[in-house]
Amino acid sequence: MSTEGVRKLSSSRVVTDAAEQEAFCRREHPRLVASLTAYTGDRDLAVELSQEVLARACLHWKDLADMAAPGAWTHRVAINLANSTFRRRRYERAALLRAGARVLDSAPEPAGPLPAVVREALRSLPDRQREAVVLRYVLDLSVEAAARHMTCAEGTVRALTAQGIARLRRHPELADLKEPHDD
Amino acid sequence: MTDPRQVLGVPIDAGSQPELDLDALRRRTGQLRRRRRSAVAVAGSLLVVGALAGSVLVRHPHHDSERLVSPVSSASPTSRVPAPTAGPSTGATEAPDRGSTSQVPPQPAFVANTEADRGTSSGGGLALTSIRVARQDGYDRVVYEFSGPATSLPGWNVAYNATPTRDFSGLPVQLQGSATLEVSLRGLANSSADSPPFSGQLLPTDTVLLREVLTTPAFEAQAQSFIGLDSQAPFRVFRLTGPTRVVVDVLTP
Repeated sequence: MSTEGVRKLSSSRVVTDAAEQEAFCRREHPRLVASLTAYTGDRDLAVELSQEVLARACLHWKDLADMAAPGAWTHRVAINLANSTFRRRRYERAALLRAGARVLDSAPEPAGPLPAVVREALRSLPDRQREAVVLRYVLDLSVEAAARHMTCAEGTVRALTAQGIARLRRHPELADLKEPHDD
Repeated sequence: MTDPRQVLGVPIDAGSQPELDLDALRRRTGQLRRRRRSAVAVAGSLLVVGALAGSVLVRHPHHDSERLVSPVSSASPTSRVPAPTAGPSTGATEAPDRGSTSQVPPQPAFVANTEADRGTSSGGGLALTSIRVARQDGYDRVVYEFSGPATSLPGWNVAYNATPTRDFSGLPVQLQGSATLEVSLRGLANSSADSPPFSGQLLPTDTVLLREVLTTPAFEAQAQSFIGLDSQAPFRVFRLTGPTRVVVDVLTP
């Protein structure tokens, strides 16, 4: 299980500050890309979002240094960005349809390392269930850490994870998935 | 039964490690920083203009009587009393777990009404040192400044009052304007003969709705201030630190 350490910045020198930021970004980037790829189903979008989130983290660096769990902050910002990207795409699509443009019934499949059936199944989950499943099984977080990332109670994480897995199991290819157990 | 981690976990192989583009990252951070600075600069310049036009009532320890000092220029654009941003603050996503205590509390887009507003005090032992009035873009502002223990916070009860009366004497208060906003400030130190309580009258000329601010001497840890307005407008009250202040904003048409 991953752990979130307390990060305290040495406030004195700018040089140390930049080095800390770079180390943080290098550490967080693969984790953000992994979780966002599973969450959005689109790896290219995940990389783009991760860059944006980390730029904002560097902008708010002083505040992040005071936090016990800066990783939870970056995750929250990332999910919010992903959700607003989808919202914007939906509105644009609806606007195009209203304007009479010929829109493809399904957007071209985005590039992604996950098999299409898994991407499809994840997409069918409500946002919060998908987020819980991603945090627990893609990032391998404990229930406690996932709760911090989602700013909700541990019981809520457990419920959302169970609901998410149950819904995924409806897909014939994923009927074999193991039920979540407490750990 | 298959472990979900095996199915959902993004496979990590040599080719799929995501590349972090540090140069692009730095460029983007710089861009965000510049955008934020220009937003602050616009707000700050509005503030400086407002402060220059405003009038100030300052208490001097060596004078028993009040002096009306006008005009007074405020500090730099990043000065202590900020103007609110036009809409929600930069970025659609503000961290919910921001633990840091910043000097400026997150200010909502002018969420105000004519209902009574209350803030709780803590600590005590504060003294009112100055009252400033300034016209800002979209509202008239009154700033009550305090000195005293750094950990103490002033409290307030601000409400429209159709029949304002002085606490101690019970005498009615006559003010310029047709509506009176009564500001009760709590958490003050008991005044003594050595440190006479702050009182005075302000008659600003450049504000839109605000006609007069009359402050009576503090009594039993409370100071009473009456704001005379042309009409009952929505208002908001909030606290600032460094130095400790209570700000009353009245929305102007």
